[in-house]
Amino acid sequence: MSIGGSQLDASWFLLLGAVLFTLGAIGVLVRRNPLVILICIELMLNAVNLTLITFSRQLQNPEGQLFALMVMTVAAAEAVVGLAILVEIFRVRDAEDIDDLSELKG
Amino acid sequence: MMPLAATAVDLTYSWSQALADLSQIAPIATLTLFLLFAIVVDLALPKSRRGDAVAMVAAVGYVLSLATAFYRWNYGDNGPAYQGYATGDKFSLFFEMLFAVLGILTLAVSHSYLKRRRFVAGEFHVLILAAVIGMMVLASATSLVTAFLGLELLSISLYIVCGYARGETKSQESAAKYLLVGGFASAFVLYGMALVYGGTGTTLIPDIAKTLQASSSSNPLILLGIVLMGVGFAFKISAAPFHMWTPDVYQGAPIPVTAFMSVGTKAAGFAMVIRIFAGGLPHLAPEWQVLLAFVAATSMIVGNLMAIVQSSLKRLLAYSGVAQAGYVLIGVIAGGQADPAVRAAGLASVLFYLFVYMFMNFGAFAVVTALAGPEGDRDRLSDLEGLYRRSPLMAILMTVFMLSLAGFPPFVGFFGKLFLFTAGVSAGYTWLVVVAVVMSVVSVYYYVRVLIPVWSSSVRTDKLEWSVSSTMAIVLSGALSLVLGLYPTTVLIASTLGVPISFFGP
Repeated sequence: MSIGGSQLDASWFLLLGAVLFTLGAIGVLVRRNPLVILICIELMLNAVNLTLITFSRQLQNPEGQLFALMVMTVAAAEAVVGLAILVEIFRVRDAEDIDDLSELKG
Repeated sequence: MMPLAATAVDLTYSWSQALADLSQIAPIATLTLFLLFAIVVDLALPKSRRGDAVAMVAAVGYVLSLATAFYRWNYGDNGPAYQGYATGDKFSLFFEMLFAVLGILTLAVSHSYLKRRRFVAGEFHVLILAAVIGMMVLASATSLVTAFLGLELLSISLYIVCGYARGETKSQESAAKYLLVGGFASAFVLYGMALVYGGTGTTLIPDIAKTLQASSSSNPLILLGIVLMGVGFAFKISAAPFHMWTPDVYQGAPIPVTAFMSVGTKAAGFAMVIRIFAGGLPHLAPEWQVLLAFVAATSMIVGNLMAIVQSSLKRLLAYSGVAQAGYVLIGVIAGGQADPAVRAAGLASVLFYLFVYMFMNFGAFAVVTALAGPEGDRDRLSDLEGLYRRSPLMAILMTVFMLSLAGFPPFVGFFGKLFLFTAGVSAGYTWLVVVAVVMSVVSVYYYVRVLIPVWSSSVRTDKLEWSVSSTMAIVLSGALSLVLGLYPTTVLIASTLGVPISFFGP
């Protein structure tokens, strides 16, 4: 399916979404700074948004865009709560690394 | 730009339709109303009276929501609402009643706990209310969009209450871990949902089932979507190998939160798994059954073996919860069989188990709540020493909960496991049931290990204070764990009635 008359196929956008999602997932697993991990999760969510909107366009169905709007709202709420929790941690102790959060184990 | 909606959307929305839709989700609407009221009360009243007032508002909300759900179960005209995005069928009502009861139990146990630890009570109850609403939304969602919203409402509220002991580094760590892992899992669920949407062209679960029935070839997009959703769901119901966060988060969170979370998120997660997998993807059952069978076997083995070596009761119960998720998954797998009798038996056993699991697991955590002092939770096994001298009633109840979790007759846990395993055998998953039975035998060891300090003689004779409300909640849980074991039919009938999910599709 061509978009806007050019040769850019919908599958390119899906591929970009997949690549961004994978990058975000790798980032979560590899990076050690909790803030960067949070950003990587946001990257994953936005990759999903891109996928949803591409499908919505491809299928000529507005539900995907509705879904993407909801995801944006939720992502904002999650970021707010996440930052609040991390700020609270940084205030009490000097934890620039996720490995410093290892009091609970067994 | 091309016009978006290919089919013209009917934008008229009559008052009668609005009322009909609203009455389908009446239990959720009631509780939401009380959530808003609780927020206002928390803002308006002077600081000293806020906690009690908000607790009262929350209590009334839960009871009314339970009553509404019960009324609609008996007299309601249950069906889809909001153009298929939600539903008020018996399946959702069953879970709505479960979550309302859980809300009441949590409120009863947490009220005195919050006072003892000098936490701000008002916000706590508001957040738990929000989490309960999220669970209810999840249970009544018939669209991927609604399911995602419910899941996130539940998760985000729980991230905050996990870190409710603000100055305590353990609680903070619990919240941070839950947030990062939960967000990661949500992203997986979401990408899976996006792929299923792309493969079927709709987010409505009944329509997904219809589309898949019409197309005979299996679409790789949908299969990948199932795998991604499966991974995300396994995170949410804390099934192995995606359970690593569970013990840490459970141990760090304040005990009432752990009790609430261990039961609530699991039940809500399973409601979603049944809705989407058994309800929306019955034609791809062989694919997701393999995935879930692997997850179930790993959960039972890892959960039970890891629980043996724990010295913290919270961690022990966390690993036990991982194992229990494995048992319940057997019922979900049976719920994917084509034979309607096997499918109904499988799903009914899941509903039954989730309902009774609430009482035994919540009760066990609730007993430990009373050990907490102003400085923190005491959840080591040694803290339970000589409990029978300090409080004979609680020692007996703790014994009931542990034996019920281990699956001893005549307690209700035995029947729960019996129904699950029978369904598993009739679905042809005998190997999985054999694993489950063997691991249940292993589990007896660590459940009984909890009872040794409880009944051991100890020099500690300090009186423990259980508040009236939490004693009532614990006694109720214990009594139901015993009575429902003697008369399991009532709940079994209810869970069987809850199963014929209207969206099973033609």
